[in-house]
Formats: sequence, structure tokens, C-alpha cells
Amino acid sequence: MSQTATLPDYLWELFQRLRRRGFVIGPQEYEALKLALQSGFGLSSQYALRELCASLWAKSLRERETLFAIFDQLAPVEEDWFIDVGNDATEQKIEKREEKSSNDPAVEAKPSAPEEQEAPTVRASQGLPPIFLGNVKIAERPFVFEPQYPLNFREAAQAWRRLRKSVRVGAPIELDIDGTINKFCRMGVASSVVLRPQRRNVARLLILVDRQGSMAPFHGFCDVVCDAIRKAGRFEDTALYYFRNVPAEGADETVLDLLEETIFPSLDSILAEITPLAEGDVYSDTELLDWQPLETVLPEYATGASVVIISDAGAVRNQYRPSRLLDTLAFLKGLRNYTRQYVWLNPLPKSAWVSSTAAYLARHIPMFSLDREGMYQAVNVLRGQQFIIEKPI
Amino acid sequence: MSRRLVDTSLRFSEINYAELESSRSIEDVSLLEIPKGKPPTQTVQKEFYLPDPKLKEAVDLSIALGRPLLIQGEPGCGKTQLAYAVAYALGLPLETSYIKSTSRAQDLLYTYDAVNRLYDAQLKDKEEGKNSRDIKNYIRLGPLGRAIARAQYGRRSVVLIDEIDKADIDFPNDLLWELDRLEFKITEAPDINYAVGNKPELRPIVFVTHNEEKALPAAFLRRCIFHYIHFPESETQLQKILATQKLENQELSQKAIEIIIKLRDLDLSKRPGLSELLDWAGYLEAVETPIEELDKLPHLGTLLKQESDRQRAVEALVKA
Repeated sequence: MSQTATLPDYLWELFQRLRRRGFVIGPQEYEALKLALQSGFGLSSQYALRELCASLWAKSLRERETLFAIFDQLAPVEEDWFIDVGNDATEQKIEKREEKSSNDPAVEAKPSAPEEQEAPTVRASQGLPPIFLGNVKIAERPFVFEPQYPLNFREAAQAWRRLRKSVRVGAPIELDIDGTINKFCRMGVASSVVLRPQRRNVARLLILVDRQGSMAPFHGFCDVVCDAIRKAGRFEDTALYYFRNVPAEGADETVLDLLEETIFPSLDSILAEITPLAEGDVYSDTELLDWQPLETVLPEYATGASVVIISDAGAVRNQYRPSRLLDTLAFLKGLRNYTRQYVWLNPLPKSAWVSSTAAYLARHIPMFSLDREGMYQAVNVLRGQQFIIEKPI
Repeated sequence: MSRRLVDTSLRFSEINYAELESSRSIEDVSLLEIPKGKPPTQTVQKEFYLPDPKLKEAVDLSIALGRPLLIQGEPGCGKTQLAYAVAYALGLPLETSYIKSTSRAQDLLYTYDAVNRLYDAQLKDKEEGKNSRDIKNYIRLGPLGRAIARAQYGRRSVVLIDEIDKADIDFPNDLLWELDRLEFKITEAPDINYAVGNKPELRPIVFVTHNEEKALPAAFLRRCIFHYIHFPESETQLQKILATQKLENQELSQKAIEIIIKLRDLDLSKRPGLSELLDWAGYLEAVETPIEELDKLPHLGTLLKQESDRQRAVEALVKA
């Protein structure tokens, strides 16, 4: 078979749809399918062809499922697919197969067999024409659902890998080639080799995630991000705790009385009066059942560590509540007793923060949206890059 | 990338693995240097293995297209064994590389021992001193490098890169060029280079195993052929697998399979895999455990590795 041989249209459609779904496949992978078919793979049955496409194009279990579902939607129904695999040249097999697939009305090779076409008859009718479902194929799984987050596992992992505090600690076990050569040059004779301790990332991270309530739509997304940070971040220590709305509640609200009487007061004028607060409830499980006091979590995991808070800060409901802002600021003040490296990641984009607690809060602390760019900025801030805040706490 | 040539000279699916002899002599891979001429051989024992037809097809596809086969599956389902089985079936030497968190991509190709050369250079008039003039003496090829060098001498090999997800996340990206072109240069000695050349029948057959999902770079994934090894679905299949392991006591293995299937239905934090089943059934047979005893779940430590899982299993199966 010549190289210009075309595959049945539905395979091209499958390829296109998979690409739209973010499969990493290119022209070479399409070519690979042709090559594989030419060398006799995937010809024995429709299942074999499906399996072949999956081997070449799907790169995880989930992608396999997706591919199977789309393939089933697109592939023509052919009960007589099974062709006897003789020892003839593969070319013949492919031609046979293509003949078969040309029963599919979508294939342009031959217009569909004449006997299937009815002669057009004209008759007067009223109302809507009747609907024929004869040629419509209804796939077993008409829909394929898969999460598409603004950020995938790998992107999150890559961003957080940049948070490094690389220090050589421990016993000297790594060979220092440059050091050894220098020593040779200095002494002029062979001497013992120079060893040094291995580099280790001693950065520590505490992740605090808002859970339930308005955060419910983001549970899956937050899980992917936290999973990526924990698995691929390679920090010395990564602690993950969940909270509801605010990590610490019950700040002294008397300071609010000092505010001027406006509908949406900003807390700028009383910022200095807010007392630090480090008492509250956090949970080590996603169901918020395994309670841990914040006052023990912070000293253990936040001291000298980087802290990431993931929460919408009221942006989902588009509310501004001074008491929530007060609690949050009081908590952040309390947090500052342990570490100065903290960022807030908001699952909503910046444009959605306007006029909610989030917008007010973003004036006091570094807050970024939970996407690729925001995450890189957040890591930059944790790495010590300067970030201008309107009203620092 | 130039257009890939298809190679259908070897087909794993056409070999009846079960009928192969229990040992055969295959090129010795323990030699430091790859011999140019006829290589010495070593006796390799057969690995018990029962690949399902889909897996065989995937292996054939990977050989034909010259793309690495990326194998995923739950721990203990025989991802690593596959490479051994294929190498044995095809009679090819197997170069293995077990990835660690400190592995570098270049180590798969070669390592250069600069310090040793420096030492040897001190001993001017001795044998070592003379050796030190030639950089070749201090270059040691890694598993993939050896396979490419062997191809240059006209012989094929199987390469296993085990648990690639353990390495740095950019590790696979550093291998793209070499896996695509199957050639490399030694940076420290630019005149030494190895290449498979335009001979698809000599391309190394590369197996890559990994456990986690999708942490691998897209550019690397694109070049691979993917296969997921499932836990055997039916009892008969499990029975067949146990039979390959020379377990004679039919009733015992039948009972063991029943138990493992029940255990896998429980909500455990780590479900027992195939290798655990084989260990467990093998031991039970070796110590001649009476079949009635199996209901009490003896030696459960082989199957379940967590106290909470163990308690749950005992509650569900023994007390019920």
C-alpha cells in the first residue's frame, strides 16, 4: 500500500476530537497508526483497532477510557467486521477493511451502496417531516466527562518545584569532583578524594485549604493541586490541613466599633488595633471530622515554613463581611509570629474578587488566582521576591 | 525526526512462552565492555509469566514502531517481569536500569570517571599511567548506552527502565533525543559516538514502567506506546497464572484464589496484588497447609501490609 493511503474518516475524526481534549498526539502519532495498520496490527476486529488506537494515543488509564468512549461513538456499526486473516499481504487486508468501512456513510470513497438509497418521491405533507432514526447510531456512552482544570498536575508540580531551599546537610557522601581536582593541583600529589554532603531541599510547607460551603465546586481542583504539591514538591515536610471559611474565628470585634459608619467599611484605619489570633479549628481530613487545634498546628508546621492558604475568601458568594475580614486579618497577624512567608491562592480569577472580602483582603496580603500564572507568582513571593502590597499588615 | 521504518522481524505474540525451555543461553550482560565479535553467553533462567493477548500485541507494536512501551499497573502485577519475559522469549540480552531519585538521564548512556583518571595519571610509568592517556578507559556505558553500542555491533537488546516516575520530573525529557534517534556522543570525548543507524531490526526494545499517573512530561508520553496491566479479571486466569508457578495442589490454589478475590472486594487501603498472591500460595503449598486452615487466613502478613487492613480482613472473612 502506498504512503498516501487514507484511513477511514472516523479515525481522523477520533484523532481530532482527542486532540481537542488535550491528548498529546501529533502528526507523527497519526502516521504511527497508519504504519501500524500497514504492518498488520489492529486489523482482526474493531476491538483490535480500538485497542491499537489506545496503545498509540492514550497515555493513561483515564485517557484510554475516553478514547474507548469516543471510538464507540464514531466507529460504524459493523457486525461482519471479523475478516479471516489469511497469510496474504497486509495490503489486501487493509483494502478489505477499507471496503468494509466504506459502508459508513461518512466515508467518501464510494457513495453508499445503491440499494440503500430510496428513489426520491414527492408527496405533499403538512407539519414537520417525520424523523427517521434508522441511520443514527446511539453510542452506549454518549457523553464522556472528564475534569478539565485551569491547571493540571504537572503544571502545579513544576511551579512548586521552584520553591527550594537547597542546603548541603548530613554525612559527606557525595564525591566533590571539582574539590578533588583543586586539591590535587594544590598539593601536586595524589591525596584522598574530597567528599561533601548531599544537597537537600529543606523548604517546609504548610497548606491550609478552605473546604465545604462555597468551596464545594473547587474540591476536585484543590485536590489535584494539593496532591501535586505534596507528591512532586519534594519538600522536607509538607503539612496539609483543612478549615471552614476562616482558619481562626473569634477575633475581638470591639475594634469594629472604631470604624466610621459606612456600608462597606475598609479596615485600614484599625489595622494596627487588630489583635493577633492563633486559635481556631483545622482538620486533617477532607470531611472536616478529624479536628486539630490551630494553636498546636501552627507552632509545629508553620515555624520558619512557607504557608499557602487556598480559599475563595468570600468571592464565590460575592459578599463583603467585615467580621470575616477581621478574623482573617487577625489570623494572619497570628501567623506572622511563626513565619513571614505566606501567600493566598484564590480559585476564582482576579476579575471575580471585586467588591467581595477577597478584594479587601488582597490589599493586605499577597493573593493570587489559582492558575498557572498566579501559582508561579505565589512561588516567587515565597522565594522572597518583592511584592508590593497596598496596605501591609 | 526522520520517518520511522517499521520492523516486523520479531513478534513476541508468535512465541508460545509456556512451551519455552526453562533455561537458555543468552549473551552475557555482566561484561564491562561490549564485545565486537561473537559474545560470550550465560545461562538465563526462565521467568514465569503469562502475558495476556492484548499485552503481547502492545509489545509487538512497540517493537514494530520502535517506540518505548510504557507500562503502568498496580504494584505487583508483573510490570518489571514483562521485560525479563520478553528478553527471554526473544533470546536477547536484557539491560536493566532501576531508577532512583538521584538518577540522571546521562547515567543511562554513560558515566565518566574523571577522578580515577586523575589518580592514574599520577602513576606516570606504571600500567595505570599509560591507561590514563586514553579516555576510553574511564568511560563506562550505562544500560541504554550499552544497548545502542551493541546495536552498532549488529546485535539487538532489550532495555528496562524501571520506575521512571521515581526520578526528577524532567528526567524523561533529557532522554527524548536519545530515544528518538538512538544515538549519542560522549561529551568528554567528541570522537566517540554510538548509533544504531538506519537498521530497524537492531533497535533496542525499550520498556519503561511507572506507578503514578501522568506526572511524566507530555513530550515523553507522546513518543511512548501505553499499556495498562490489570489485575486478572477471572478466576480461571488466576488459576492459569498460579499454574505457571508450578503450584501443584489444585484445590489449595483454588481456595487461595477465592480468598484473594474476596479480599480485593473489601475496602482496603492497599489491595493485595498478584505477586503477593504468588508468594502466599507458594508458601502455603511449601509448608503443606491443610485447605480448611485457609479460612483462618494464615500468614496474612504476606498479603496485607497494614494493621487496619488486616483487622478489617479478619473481621470480614474469619468472623463472618
